Amino acid sequence: MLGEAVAGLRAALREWPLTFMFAGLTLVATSMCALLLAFALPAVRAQAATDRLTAADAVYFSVSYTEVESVAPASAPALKDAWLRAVESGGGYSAVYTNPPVSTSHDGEVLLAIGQFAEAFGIDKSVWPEGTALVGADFAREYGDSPIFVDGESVPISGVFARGYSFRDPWNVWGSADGLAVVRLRADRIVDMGPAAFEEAVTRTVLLRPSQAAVDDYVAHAADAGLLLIPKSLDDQPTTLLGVSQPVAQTLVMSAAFLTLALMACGTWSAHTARRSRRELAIRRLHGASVAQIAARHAAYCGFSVAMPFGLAAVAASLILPFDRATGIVVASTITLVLWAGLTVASVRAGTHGEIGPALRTKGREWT
Amino acid sequence: MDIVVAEDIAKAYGTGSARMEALRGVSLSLKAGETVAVIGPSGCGKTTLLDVIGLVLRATGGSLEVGGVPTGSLTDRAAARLRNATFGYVRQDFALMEDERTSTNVELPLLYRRPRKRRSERRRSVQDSLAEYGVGEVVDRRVNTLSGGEKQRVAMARAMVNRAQVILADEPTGCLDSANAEAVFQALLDAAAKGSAVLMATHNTEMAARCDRVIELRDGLQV
Repeated sequence: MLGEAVAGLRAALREWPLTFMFAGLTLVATSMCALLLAFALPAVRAQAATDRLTAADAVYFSVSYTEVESVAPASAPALKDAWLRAVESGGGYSAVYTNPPVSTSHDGEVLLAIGQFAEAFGIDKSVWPEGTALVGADFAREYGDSPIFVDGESVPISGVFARGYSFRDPWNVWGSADGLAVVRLRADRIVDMGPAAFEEAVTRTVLLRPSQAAVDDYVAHAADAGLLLIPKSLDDQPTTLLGVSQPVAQTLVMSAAFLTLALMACGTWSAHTARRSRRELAIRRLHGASVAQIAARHAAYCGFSVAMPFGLAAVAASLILPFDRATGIVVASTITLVLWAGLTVASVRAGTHGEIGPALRTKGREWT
Repeated sequence: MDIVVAEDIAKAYGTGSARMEALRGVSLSLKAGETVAVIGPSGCGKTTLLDVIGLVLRATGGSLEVGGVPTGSLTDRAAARLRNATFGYVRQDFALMEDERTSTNVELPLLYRRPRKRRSERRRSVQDSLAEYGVGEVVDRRVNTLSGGEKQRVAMARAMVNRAQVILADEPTGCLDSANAEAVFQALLDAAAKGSAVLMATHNTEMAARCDRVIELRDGLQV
């Protein structure tokens, strides 16, 4: 068997211009698809989050300041109550990202999530109790179990987001959770964390299924405290995400078509080579080669010229794609093995179908 | 003991209205050292008979035993082993890999033999076999540079390199001039003298007459 596999490799090397052309085609097409997928998948996920928020008639706010000073909860008790109503009983959520009172032993970014954050993003609250953190895949890899302190209190880590998990951020289109630690906090904790955190929480509030009266009430209390909030709907930015994702999707489809064509060309060439080699394969079978031995020869040929470059590109892609790495490598390896087996079976069938006698009478080139 | 026992062998090609009966109830046996000629007009089934006996085609009827092994339900691997261990093939079209070296062609039966000889032993066997058939000097030449006579002697060397028990020679002299034809036929007789059975399909009645037995076929039937 080993001798047959070596002969298959020699055959692939003997036809090196074609072998390298197919390998290059496969490599380029796979890499293009992977890079585009790496860009498109977060957009697709963000689109799903957008759909969820749109279905909840989410209202978010842009802000103008009427006063220079930050808005302190103590100086705006009505706003504090309105905000607590909005994010606790009102079914809204908020986040503090730029001004969290957080200390860590590293530079990892920490986001404080308040209110119905988990529900808005479909996260199971049983795995994410209040006062605990979920961390992104990169954060977990880089900082492991390093403690996170919020307002002086240590926060335990309850889990890790799947690689590529992203939040829909109305202001930035989307945000990846890979490098983040997201701490779920009760709303009243934010109130006690000082004016900067409170003001950010007020402005980043997203109201879910609010009545017009609730929106007006919230805006009015903010205005009284010196924050001019302008309510906005996700419907106001319908083209933002589409503007990003449509060209990506189109290019992705073209790349996938290119990859498919490249693989079809490789497969067709392998089968054609096998068909042209029918006579030689028949001579080998005549003198004792079994179909399994012929298959070993084809497997080496297809493996070297098609499956190996595809596999390398696919594994490399799995490392840059927003998937869990182990899963990505398993998926890439599985696709590669299926492709390899398919090509080998197709070319063995093309080269050995039927009885030896008729194949001996065919004309054709030789394998090695 | 008979090396090959074929009884009532039938072989049909195609199905339905395109079905063609190439062999209809042919029986024969082969003993070690025996030479048997199969004669008959073109299309009478000579090549088909040799291919069925050599496990190159599967019979559609009858029974075939090779070396005491019934071949009706052999797997591909078992059939390949049995072909390798029993038969040497010499064909009118030589069945050589034209782009390969002579040595690679002659080595084929040794390459698929179980247990396999070491490379150095294989190389020596190839050289000995080629020398035995008078073509030792072409060992490293590509087959497509050889003459017809040289090719057929290379094919003989390949058939005998594994000490085949049965040589199946399908029109072995068909493409050769009379001198080369006689040399190849003599090589077959020599192989028989050393203990191999030879089954030869031929149009050459003179050569057939020099064999121990003659089987005549007509329209797939044994006459």
